[in-house]
Formats: sequence, structure tokens, C-alpha cells
Amino acid sequence: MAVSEKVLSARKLPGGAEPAERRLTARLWFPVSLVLIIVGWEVAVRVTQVNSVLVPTPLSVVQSLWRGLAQTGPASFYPHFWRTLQEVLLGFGGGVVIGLLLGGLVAISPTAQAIIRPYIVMIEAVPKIAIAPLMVVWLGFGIESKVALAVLVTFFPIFVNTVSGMRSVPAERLELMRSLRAGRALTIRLVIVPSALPFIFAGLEIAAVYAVIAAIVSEFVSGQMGLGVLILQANFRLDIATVFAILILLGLMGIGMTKLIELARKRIVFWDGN
Amino acid sequence: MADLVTRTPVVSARGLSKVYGTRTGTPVVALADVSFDVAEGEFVSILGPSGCGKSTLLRIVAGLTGETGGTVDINAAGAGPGTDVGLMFQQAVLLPWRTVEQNVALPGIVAGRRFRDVRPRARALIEMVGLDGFAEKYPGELSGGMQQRAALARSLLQDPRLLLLDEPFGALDAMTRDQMNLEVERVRQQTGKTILLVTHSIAEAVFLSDRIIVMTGRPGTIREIVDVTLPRPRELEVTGSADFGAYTNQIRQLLDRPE
Repeated sequence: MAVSEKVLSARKLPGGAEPAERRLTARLWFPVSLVLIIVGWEVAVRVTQVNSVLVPTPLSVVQSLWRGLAQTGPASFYPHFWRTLQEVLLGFGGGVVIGLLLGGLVAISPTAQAIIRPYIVMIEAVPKIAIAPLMVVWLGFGIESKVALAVLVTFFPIFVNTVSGMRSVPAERLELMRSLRAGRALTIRLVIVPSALPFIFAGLEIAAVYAVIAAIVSEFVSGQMGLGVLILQANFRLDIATVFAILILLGLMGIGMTKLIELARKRIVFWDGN
Repeated sequence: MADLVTRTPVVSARGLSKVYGTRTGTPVVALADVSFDVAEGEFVSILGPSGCGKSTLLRIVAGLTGETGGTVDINAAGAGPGTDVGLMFQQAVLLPWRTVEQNVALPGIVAGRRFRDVRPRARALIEMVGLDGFAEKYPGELSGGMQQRAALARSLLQDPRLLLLDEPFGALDAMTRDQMNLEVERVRQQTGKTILLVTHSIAEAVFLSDRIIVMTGRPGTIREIVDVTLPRPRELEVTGSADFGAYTNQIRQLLDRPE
């Protein structure tokens, strides 16, 4: 198509490298620097005689990771990883559902807004993480208290973004619907909800990160299983290499969720620029 | 044009006024005692400087804003947006998640019809405004002028008796604007629609209109209504003619003349 060709050719700026080349160089920076940092780290620990128990070398971290993944039994990472993932996903799912429902309600109903909003603001002022011990008292040492905290923590970004997304629909879109004599329900379905989707996806990405934080902190407080528990145990044993190995797993869990959400966003909110 | 006025007017405004309250407490009179008719099949432009209340006037006719005083009748059935009125704004206001044909079909969907029933008409209109091949593209893939073409097609979907155009080409560059004016002139010829246009471009008003309501502000009042008797159909060449120049001069003098 003529139009898109024009756009593409306009991007080629004179006097610089071709964009494809430049993108390739930019993409190489990260792996190259990462390898340099890891090698530097390994060398620094070996040369400077720091206590290699306290500061493990990258090699020993990889060994711990491999050991945890390769073996079965109580020291294996899998059951713990699975448990934490369960807490994260259940908490995330619950928080998203409640956040969308309450957010939608508050956005479309002034009455709901008047009733719910003050409580939300009150709860929002309390650091949710501080409720973790209370959750244990109410819900026990099992998975319930962890999921509950994750729900509570993920709920807020979803709620806030749903409300502000549905509230910040460009006025001319609403005017268009008004000029077509569209009813409230139809305007919500055809214009308000789709307009809010970019906001909601931004909320989902924040919520995913929060969910992992909530799960780990609750496990610190009262866990019997999970990667948070493993971190504590390894820490007590001064097995710092294992701590690092689990941090890597947690990072991968976070990246995995963020990538999935991003993928969904690109498919669903395809019209939104970024 | 005298015979046009004798028919039942499509729009009939009598003594319209609009007063806005402001923060400082002093009310602003946006419109004062505005009366005019638009006859069936007539093209009328409302022309004036910014702030003369011309957009407010159109919004009252469209039923998007309430009037403070006076009455406006559309088909003698009362003002209000609906299937009898097609509306085009300064911006195209296409929904970015709907394809061009889905956007053009929107008034039908809102009226409770199914997309597959409205689609053939949407397609025909898309072709009429010169967007063939773009029906399944998204608005983000269209230029500003193409988006306004889609908006024009959308405003025609329910075959309204009256088209209201609120500075629809103000955001376009001069050449695209000329093209769009030709497009509107062509649509008018093909459909015989009654059209009320708000603009601040003298040339655009003269090129398109049968009559021009020249307004001055504030408060927004009608300075004069000018009949334009240039022969139809009009092509862009008419803008170079002596008659065309005479009209634009006459209107410019009306606008420049102090109260």
C-alpha cells in the first residue's frame, strides 16, 4: 500500500546507519554487557578473597539453580515454585475480577461512587503488606492467607485504573454517541469499556508485579511452602547461592507474567500506540 | 432562491438565545435573538469569526446543547439528535478499535440493527466518499482527510433529512480541504440533502452554499444573510471567477464593518 510505504521510507534518515543495523546493535548491548558483568563478578569474587559464602560466584549460583531444578524430594524447587505461582495466579485473578467489578460500578454509578470511594481511600492509605500477619490470624498458615493478601494488593491498581480509564473517555466520543441517541448501556459497551482498556492493561501489569511481592511477603510471615519459605531457609543456612538462584526464579516468574499480559495487550488493545 | 423559502423549512429557528454562566458570575451572552430557516434541499452556511456563537448555534440545532430562549424546529418535530439528523464534527471521532466499515455502520448499530444488515449500505457509502479498499482498515491507518471522509459516510448512514457539519474540515490542510469541499458538493448533488454548515472560511461558505448566514459576536447575532446564486454543479474553477470574488469581498466587508 502506497500510504504505508511512504511512512516507512520517511523513517530512513540521511547520514545514519540503516534502522535495521542500528536496532541490531542496540539489541546486542544488553547480552554483551550482561556477560561482561557476570564474568567481572566471577573474577572479582575469586581475586578479592571476599568470603565466597556471603558473596557467591555466578558459577555457584548456577550450580544451586541446577541442583534445585534437577533433584526431586523436599529440596527440589518445583513444589515450592508451583505453590508460589498458585498463590500469585489465584491472588492476581481474584484481584482483577474484584477490581474490574468494583471499578466499573464506581465509574458508572454516582451512588456506588459515594458509598465505596471513601472506604477504598481509607484502605488504600494502609500499607497492605502490613496486613499479612492479620491474614494469618484470620485465615491460617495455609494458602488462603497468601491468596487473600495477593487479592488485596492486586485489587488496587486494577480498581484505580478501571475507574480512571472509564472516566477519561475523550468527550467527543461520548458526544458522538449522544448525537446518535445511544442509551447508557450501549455507550458503555461500545465506547466507554473499549476506551478504558489501555488503562486497565497498564493496571494489570502493575498488579502482576504486586501479586508476586504479596505472595513472597506472606510466605515470609507464615509460610510452610513456597519460594519465599525456601529463601528464608537458605538464608538461615547461609546458603546465599541458593538465595540468588531463587531470586532468579522469581524474576523469571515476574517476567513471564508481564510478557503474557503484554502479549494480550498487543492483541486486544492493538489500536493503542505504545 | 425565493421559491425555496416558501416550502416547509427543515430547520426553523426563532429568536434563539444562549447565555452561559461563568465563574466570575457575569453571564456571557453567546447568542442573541437568532432567527433563520433552512429549506428542503438547501445548503446553508453559518459563517463568522471564532467566538461568535456559531458552533453553539449548530449544537442547539443538533440538540446537544439546550437553548436559553427561543425555539428551533426540525421538520416541525422539535430539535434533537437522531436518525433524522446526521452530524459531523471538527474531528472525525472514529472509534480506533472499529474498522472503517464498522465505524460507518455505527449509527445503524446504535439504532438496533445488525452489522450484517447495515454493512452493504456502509460499503456503498464508503465507496461514494472515495474510500474504496479501505473498508476493513482501522482509523489509525488513515490520513486526516480520509478519516473525515469516513465520518462523512457515517453521518449519511441513516439517510438523515438534515446534515449538520460543525467546521468539519477546519483541522485539514488547504488542499485536502478543497478536496473535501468538492466531496461535499458531490454528495449534495447525489443525495439532495439539506445541509447546515458551520465554518470560518469565507471561500468554503461561498463555494458550497445557497445562502450564508453571516454572524458577528459577542453576543452572537446575525449580521446579514447572503444569497449565493453561483450556478450548480460547482467545480473548483468557480473559485477563480469574478462572481466568486465579488461574494467573498462582500462577506469580508460585512465581517469587517464595525457595529
